Amino acid sequence: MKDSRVKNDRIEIALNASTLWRAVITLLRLFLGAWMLNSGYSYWAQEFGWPPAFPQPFGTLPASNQMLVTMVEVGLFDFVKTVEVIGGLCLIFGVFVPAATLLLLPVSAVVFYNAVFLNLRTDRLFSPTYMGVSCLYINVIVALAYIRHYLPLLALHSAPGSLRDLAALPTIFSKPDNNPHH
Amino acid sequence: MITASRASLKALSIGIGLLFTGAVYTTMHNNPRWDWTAPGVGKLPRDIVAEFMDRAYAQGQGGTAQLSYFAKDAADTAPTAQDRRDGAPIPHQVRQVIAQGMTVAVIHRIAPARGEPGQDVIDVFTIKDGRIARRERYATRFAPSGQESAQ
Repeated sequence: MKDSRVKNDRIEIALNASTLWRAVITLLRLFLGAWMLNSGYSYWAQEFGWPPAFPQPFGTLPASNQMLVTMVEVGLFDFVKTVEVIGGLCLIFGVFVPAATLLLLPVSAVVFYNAVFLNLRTDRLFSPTYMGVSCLYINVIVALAYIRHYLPLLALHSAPGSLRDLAALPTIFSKPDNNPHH
Repeated sequence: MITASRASLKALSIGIGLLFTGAVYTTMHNNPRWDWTAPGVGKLPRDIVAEFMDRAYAQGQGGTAQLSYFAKDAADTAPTAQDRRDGAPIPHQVRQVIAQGMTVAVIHRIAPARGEPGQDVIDVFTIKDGRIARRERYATRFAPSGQESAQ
């Protein structure tokens, strides 16, 4: 049974498990976006003298200190925090969501690694309020929800195309499909 | 079954996203774990030490600077050092700064000032929560110029 049907701009939404799943994924996507945007903004805010949401943490234990301080000193954090801002905005505004989710996945993974393996916060491994681990969990769940967009990337057999394929680039701006799988 | 326009759902989701953004900002900004009064909050350890040394040496405001840059419970093996007192500027020459994580080692030559002789020292600072949590001072003597080559 279809849970929604398009009638011009209007859609009919069935109150069922599929709709609930979509709502939960949407909320997780928005929260992840909000977190990433705050995290990225806070770093750049301090660079420009604006009020950050929180000061850039440099870890608790020495290995975490070294990694984070070094990432800032060598300029890698400029890249990471820019990715967070761009990815966060995409998730909040619902544009390029599969790409943004994928873009943020390495960031979330490093945050998780820093929290669990460098700061040894295994006591909070399953704490939903600890974003050191939760951002990866949320990121993975959102990515799984968009798995159909990644399946072509996972093709076992593939052949290179040509630069003429770039001609199809404008199709990325086409209207969203209505998820025909539901 | 409920009916809604796609545009309104889109606007609603963006609104919720912005609401989440504001909530995260407010919650994190007002989290008591941050000491916003710390002069080095969010700054790199080497920058915090450089700021303190600029105040204490170049500007001669060590007494004032140490009140904010040193944590209240900071440990210092040179608590009576001139760089923790106000007075005339203290000329010093930084030979090298070595930073690793939250530890910053400053190898510097302090010129005679305020009636005290000059000295060569290695100051090892440990930073925590935007302030100096520990300073260990090691007296040393730099090799005279021209005697620095390997034997």
